[in-house]
Amino acid sequence: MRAIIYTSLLLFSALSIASKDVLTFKSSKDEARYYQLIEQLRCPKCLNQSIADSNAGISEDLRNIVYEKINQGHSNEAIKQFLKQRYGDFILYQPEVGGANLILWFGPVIVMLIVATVVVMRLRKKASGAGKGELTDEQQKQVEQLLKQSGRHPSVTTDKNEDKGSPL
Amino acid sequence: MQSNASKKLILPLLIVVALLGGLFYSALNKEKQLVPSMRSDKPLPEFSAKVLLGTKQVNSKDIRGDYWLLNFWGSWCPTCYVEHPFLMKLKQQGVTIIGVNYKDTEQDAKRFLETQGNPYKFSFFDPKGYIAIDMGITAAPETFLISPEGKVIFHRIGEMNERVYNSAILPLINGSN
Repeated sequence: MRAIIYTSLLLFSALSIASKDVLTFKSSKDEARYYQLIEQLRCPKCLNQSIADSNAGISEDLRNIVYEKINQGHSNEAIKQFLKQRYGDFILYQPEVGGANLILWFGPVIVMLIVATVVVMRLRKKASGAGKGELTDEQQKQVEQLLKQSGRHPSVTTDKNEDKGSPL
Repeated sequence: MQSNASKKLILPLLIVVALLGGLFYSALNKEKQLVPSMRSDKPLPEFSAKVLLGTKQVNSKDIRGDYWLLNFWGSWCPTCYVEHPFLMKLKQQGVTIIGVNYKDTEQDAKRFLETQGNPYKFSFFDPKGYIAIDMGITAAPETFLISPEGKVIFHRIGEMNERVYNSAILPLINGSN
């Protein structure tokens, strides 16, 4: 009895595998292109899944389209363009370099460069002004006034020396 | 000194918070659409298929007339059952709706129309989803508004209902009259 159950289970599993569509390609190169392309195309229905990974109906349809077009001799670029016209850049995991996508490609680098420039400029400014202190004009005036009052201001000292006059 | 530096930071911080707040508010009110609608404001692409009820082959370029809706549906799609009564209502109001029966079997699709009613002037039969891909569809239901000149002027992903029709479609139709 057990043998019959195991045999029928084996038979059914073999049948279920056989019922799946077997894709036939004109060459192994085309087959490799197919598997590469479906990994590079994003499922428009799902969040962050390629059409190779997704079980959504639309992914199945898109895999079929890619398969048909490869067998019809279309290039990878032509297939990507065909899908881009219908689903926009969203369908491509690696968006093209050009147009509005330039922001996507170079935006982070530009922002990092701006941040780095600002940081370097501030550090330099801080380093060059290190010995001078960071007094505002008003504070500087107040310091000078206090020094004058206490008689320790350099100009006051000079004046005193001058007042003493020459011994001659 | 410290309070002076903090004062300097307040204005840029306020600007950033105001910008983020604005972005958040606009995102709240925006219709969520993952994929850009590539067919909007472009001529309806040419496609041809057999009609569901009959044997006639129809080409999209042959559909002429007033404003009409192109609705993608399937008997397997739960939301299509939800929006169906509203499509029946639109038909009663004289709105032309042409269907695309998407990834369905002929038998199931016909049974759907028999039990739920048929709001469509006719339906293209698209079991492999070729028309759907031509229109940039991601699932059913989706609805397009086509102008008398054959241009796609609105694309709705998801259920068509009175709110969407009155707020987005009617102004487009009335605006041109």
